[in-house]
Amino acid sequence: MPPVVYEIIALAMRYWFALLGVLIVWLAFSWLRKDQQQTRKRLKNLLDAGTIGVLTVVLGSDELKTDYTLPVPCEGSLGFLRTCDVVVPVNNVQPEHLYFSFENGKGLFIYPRKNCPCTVDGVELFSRRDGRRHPMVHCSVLSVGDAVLRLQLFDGLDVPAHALHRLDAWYKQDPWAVPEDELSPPGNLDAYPVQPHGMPPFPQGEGTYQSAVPPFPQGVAPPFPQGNGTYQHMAAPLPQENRAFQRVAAPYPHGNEPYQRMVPPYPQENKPYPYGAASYPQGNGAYPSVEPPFPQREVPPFPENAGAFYPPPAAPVMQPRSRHRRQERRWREDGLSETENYDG
Amino acid sequence: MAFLKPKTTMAEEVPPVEADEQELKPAKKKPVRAPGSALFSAVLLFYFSAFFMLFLRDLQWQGLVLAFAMPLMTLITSEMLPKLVPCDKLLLALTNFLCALGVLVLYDTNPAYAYNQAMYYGLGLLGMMICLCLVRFIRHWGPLAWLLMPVSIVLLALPLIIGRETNGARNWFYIGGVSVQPSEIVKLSLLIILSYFMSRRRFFAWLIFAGASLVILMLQKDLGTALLYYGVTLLLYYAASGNLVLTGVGLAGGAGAAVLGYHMFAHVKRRVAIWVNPFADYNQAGYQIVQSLMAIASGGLFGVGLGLGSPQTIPVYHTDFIFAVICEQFGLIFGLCVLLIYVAIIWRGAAIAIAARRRFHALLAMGCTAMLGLQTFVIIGGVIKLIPLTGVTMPLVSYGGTSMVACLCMIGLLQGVSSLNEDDLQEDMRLASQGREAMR
Repeated sequence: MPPVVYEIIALAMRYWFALLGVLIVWLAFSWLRKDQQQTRKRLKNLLDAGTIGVLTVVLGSDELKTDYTLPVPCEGSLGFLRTCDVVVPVNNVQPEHLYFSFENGKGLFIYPRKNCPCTVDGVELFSRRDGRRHPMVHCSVLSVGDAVLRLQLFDGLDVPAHALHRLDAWYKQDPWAVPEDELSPPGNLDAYPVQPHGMPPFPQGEGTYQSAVPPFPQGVAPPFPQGNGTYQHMAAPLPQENRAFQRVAAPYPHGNEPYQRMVPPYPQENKPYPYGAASYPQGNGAYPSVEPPFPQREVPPFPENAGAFYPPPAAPVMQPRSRHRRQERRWREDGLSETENYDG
Repeated sequence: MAFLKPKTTMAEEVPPVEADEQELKPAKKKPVRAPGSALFSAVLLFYFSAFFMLFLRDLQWQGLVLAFAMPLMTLITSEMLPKLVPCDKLLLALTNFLCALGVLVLYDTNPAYAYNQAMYYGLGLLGMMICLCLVRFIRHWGPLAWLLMPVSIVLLALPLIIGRETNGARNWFYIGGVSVQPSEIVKLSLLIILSYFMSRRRFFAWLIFAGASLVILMLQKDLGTALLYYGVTLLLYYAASGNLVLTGVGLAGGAGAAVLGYHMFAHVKRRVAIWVNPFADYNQAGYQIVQSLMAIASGGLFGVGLGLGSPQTIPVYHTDFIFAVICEQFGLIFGLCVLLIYVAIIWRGAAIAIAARRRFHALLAMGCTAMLGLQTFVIIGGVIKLIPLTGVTMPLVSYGGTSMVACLCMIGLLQGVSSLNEDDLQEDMRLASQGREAMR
């Protein structure tokens, strides 16, 4: 091509190239912006993105109360500094006490710093090597300083099935007195068969441990950043089928058991009590039967014994008439006759 | 390579998370258009028209082949590669644009360089895929990091023993007629070693390695690369620790060393003098920078036109001063666009680093981004006389096989971290949907 013609074409094409250059940059930046918006939108819907579960505080301090949950990222540091990924403002916890890292299929590895020991399921860790030997799994208990934290992983994570939780060791550190009969035989843990993941550490049927703690689903416990940078909030209410998680979150030393002692002392049926609980001789204790013990008919005192035996002079005397009127009204409402009630 | 295929496609292809909402609402049928199709079309159009113009000028068949081959190569790498290996399409498109721009400018000025560069580009793409797979599949970087430390030190020290001095620096050696710049290869191992040891909080291991590398580079008088290594180490240390005091101390130490170097070494003094006033000795010492400034000025806003002008008058126009050639041929507006494309790559790299879940991956991505960004700043700042000129290449554009392969490998590391981020996000979505099911 003649140089003159080429020069004309090249001079004309300069604007074309400049236009294409500007267009390419504009398209690249609009793509960047759209992609960023989309990522932000996705993360907004994924409240627990980047975390593998929570550490529930079993024993904390005034700043970190029992029952609070701390979201756990898959890798990070734990200490009382605000810059740590998991902030534990409890006595004897160092500024950066330990590092942790979650590995799929293995669990959460704890790497304590030098002179910052900690305990995982009763096993003391002093070095990285110790940490590699004893990974935390679902329901493992971590003692760091004066704090006791329990790990709860999200449902669906790939965690090994060889979780034999040494909760007895945890019990020994527990501030609450645990009845001896609730402890499994000491030193005999290795004899127990390995439980599948999510199952309680004790064999079925023994003791009071009857149900497993299911790993809770992601998305139910959003991390709310508190003022001091510590993620502290109560676990959100869970659906019916995951009630066991709520039990676990309760500040009782039972761990996995479904808290039988917390069952309120009411009968199973919805029969109304004719009297308040205070009128029963057992007080608020456990009621031996579902049926409330109805009061027996009061025998009026014989005139010759009046003041001598019954009622005792120091005891407050109720007005029988008004009391009887109340009873009669209630029985009438229930459709019962006075005779039936008095004599069964 | 089918096993490398991701479980799901990349971010731009995946619809947003509201799976529940989508289940409830009837999906509206809208024509789906990939967000990058317009960008790819613009890039293809640019390269086809540019290479076709050069073919018209010379009427040589190579130009015609390149007019079809380069857009095709860009298309294949941007469209086909993500189907084989999960990667960030935008990053890939921008990288391809810069690489092809280098080939275009070199073909315009010296076709022999362009053919070599195209070959290195292909080699670099292979290296990029390897690095991507390494990041995806290697779980334990410890053995590799420990192994890389002595190997890198030996490799870096080789030019001192068997190297040849070029342009005042002894940072090259030759194997079978092929020149190798080990400091470019060691960049990758520096990033891996720094990221690994900083993520493990092992202070002395990375400090010893970085210190030894800097000493060797100073002995080779390769100041530009030493500046890059130092800057990246400092940036990574700040990213890893957040310790502003120690980072400030490091910065002050670097400034002190620069002042000391200025007083101790004659060649440093000369470079600073050229930077302050290149026109004082425009025919000798300041010739490079003066020619560069004149080329940029003569280009104006829209350039002198592709294939016109006299870019060969600029010394080392194919490596250090390739930005001046671009500005002369395409104009300042296009030069600014090239700079903005670097900004987009750095932006993307920083976003990848921030989104990374693992400390090592975050530091690796941040290191790659910092290295590319700092290198771009150092060379373009030198070309436009913003800072004293140091001999480093313009990433992905300048002529140089080692540089091109190393830069594409860094992009590969970034792509690997990006694909891991995407996998993590998919995993989170899976867990969240499982949780939602449980709540129902």
